[in-house]
Amino acid sequence: MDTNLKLLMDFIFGTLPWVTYATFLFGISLKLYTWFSTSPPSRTVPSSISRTPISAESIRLTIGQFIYLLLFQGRFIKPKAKSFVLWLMSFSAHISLFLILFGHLRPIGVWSASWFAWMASEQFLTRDLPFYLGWVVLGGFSLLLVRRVVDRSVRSISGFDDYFLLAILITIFLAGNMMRVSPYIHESFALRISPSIVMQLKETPSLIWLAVHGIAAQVLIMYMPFSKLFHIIASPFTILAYSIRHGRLYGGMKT
Amino acid sequence: MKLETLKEVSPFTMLQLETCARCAHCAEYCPVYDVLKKPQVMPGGRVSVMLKIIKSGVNPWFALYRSKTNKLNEIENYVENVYNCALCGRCMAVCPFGIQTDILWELFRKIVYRFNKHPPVLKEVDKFILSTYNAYGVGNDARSMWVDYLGLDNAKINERSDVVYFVGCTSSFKAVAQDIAYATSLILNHARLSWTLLGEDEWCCGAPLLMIGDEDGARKMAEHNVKAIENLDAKLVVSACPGCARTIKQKYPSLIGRALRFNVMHVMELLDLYIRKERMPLKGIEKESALVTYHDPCELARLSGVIDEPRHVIHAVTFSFREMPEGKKDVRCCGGGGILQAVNDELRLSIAEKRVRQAQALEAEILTSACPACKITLMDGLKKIGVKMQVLDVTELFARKLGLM
Ligand code: HEM
Ligand code: SF4
Ligand code: SF4
Repeated sequence: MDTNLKLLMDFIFGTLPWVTYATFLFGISLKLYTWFSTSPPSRTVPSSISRTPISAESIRLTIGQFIYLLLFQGRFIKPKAKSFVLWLMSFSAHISLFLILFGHLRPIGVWSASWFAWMASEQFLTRDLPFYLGWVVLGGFSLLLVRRVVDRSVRSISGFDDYFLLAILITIFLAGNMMRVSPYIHESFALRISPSIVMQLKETPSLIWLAVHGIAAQVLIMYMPFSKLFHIIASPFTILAYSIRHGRLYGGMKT
Repeated sequence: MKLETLKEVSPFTMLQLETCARCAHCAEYCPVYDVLKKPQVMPGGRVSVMLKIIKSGVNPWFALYRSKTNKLNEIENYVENVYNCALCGRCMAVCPFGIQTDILWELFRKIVYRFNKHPPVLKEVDKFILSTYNAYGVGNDARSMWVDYLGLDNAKINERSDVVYFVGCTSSFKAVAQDIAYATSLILNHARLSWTLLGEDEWCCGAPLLMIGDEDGARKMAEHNVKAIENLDAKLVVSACPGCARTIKQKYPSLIGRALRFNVMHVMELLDLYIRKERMPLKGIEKESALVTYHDPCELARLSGVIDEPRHVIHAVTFSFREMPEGKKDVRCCGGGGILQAVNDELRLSIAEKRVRQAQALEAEILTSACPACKITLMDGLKKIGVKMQVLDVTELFARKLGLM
């Protein structure tokens, strides 16, 4: 590897992560600080919904609603064509995205392809599948971007944040897939992404695209607490809260 | 503006506001956006503005969060939109994150109210509810006049009973809705329940005050009504108004800071229960043969989960029934909610028009609902488009078929 490239890689995967972690933590702390300075928690008086005893029926409804929302089915409440298209784009993009994020844990040693050997070959699971999923994510988020520009309603409430995020995300996935499209060097490669975490890759990907991938991904993480990407952290809580309310309202509170 | 003015805003409120991905899925479903087509009234747009206003009032020294605009100005420019909302809760039901917008919108109104920036007409309404204890600004001693006027015999007023029938302002004072009060009374008699009216001691349930943003006013109403009901040792409060029933059941405990000593039901729940337990004599009834449809009141279906009950009741007395599109949990609001009639009646009528056209397309002969505000709004909608269709509350349909009225 030539020295300049090595220096660049050291910066992106050695130094920058510290900035990324620090910015992320600062953002989250600032958010929490702001939230908690809006109100003294003691003011919260339990409503009758939170006083309702939990019945088997309300637990069933809560779990059902939670799964329903996790599958993005909330947007499917009525078979409207527009809702369906939106569901298809965002659900396929998100599910592929989750699988790819999960995939990133393998080279770190969290799981191994042999666990899933009964499903498909290692080659398919670690090379082909992520590659295809990458295109699904790219396609999905690109279509969401198109929708944001073309659909009058969505455009009317969109701002810099919305477009910037989509651009970053598209960059990450484009670079990720380009690493695989451009020629490989058939040598193993160890990528240190923090003092204790090393990604063990079987082959060396295109380093330029790897650099782009690494920078864009870290920009996304840094930006997360300051943008609507915060829904990544927050949505499980809002979905759970709504599900519990829904379960009680439709189950426990009725007589 | 100082921080303490926003103390209603809890960390969970902030979490919900910051979760909105501005996907605009709600735009497809909001009846107000459907008419006005302004980003400021789209639920996702409302969230953005609310967040901006709140943040501009929090920690003004935090440059990162400081918004250049002055919060009061922002609120002023935005008030009209805050009240251009039917509080129907549909945006919550379709939001992929389940953001509980109904609670957020009420909170938004509370903030506006606190800055005394609510529209003049609502200042009037607020004032007269607080002084007359009803939403129509007439003497509250007229609350039970419908009893004599419609000839209801042996009605108990403010006497010890198992059941209190909480009539609500609309059914007490509005002529077309008084039939609902009458029908409900006849049904309670037919079921041989020991029940009473509260008469003058029934005050506005407080829902309109909450819609204006006056929480303290609503608390005053709640405290009075709870005392009046508990004084009679009643075990159950029944109402034919979904707004009253929901306010008492879901909001009173947090308003007065303790649990209620009685249960609350909408009359549809009670009727359904009595029919299923065969405690409601149905012998010899002649079922309705005209084509009936049913409009779910938002407060009853989506916001209280009472969806199957009214349908069971209708099926007990009719032969032919057809479902409306956009019904049940996903019901399209008729426009009667959110105190729109006072704030923007034109908007209310445009929303109503869309809903009644759907009933018209079904070729329904009788359009039923289970809410006095819906009944009035649907009738106004039909008048607007010049279509003749009978609008009945399910209680009226039921009482008629039982030959009670
Ligand atoms: C439980 C977890 C999650 C849920 C329920 C969820 C749900 C959603 C929904 C409903 C949207 C709106 C799509 C639209 O614009 O129409 C969205 C947008 C988005 N999500 Fe997520 N998401 C989750 C996690 C994530 C994660 C882990 C990431 C990335 C690392 C992510 C990245 C994005 C991006 C970039 C957008 C913007 C798309 C746009 O503006 O059109 N999400 N998400
Ligand atoms: S559906 Fe929910 S997340 Fe989407 S714009 Fe509306 S409020 Fe925001
Ligand atoms: S409550 Fe109803 S009218 Fe108000 S923003 Fe939501 S969908 Fe629109």
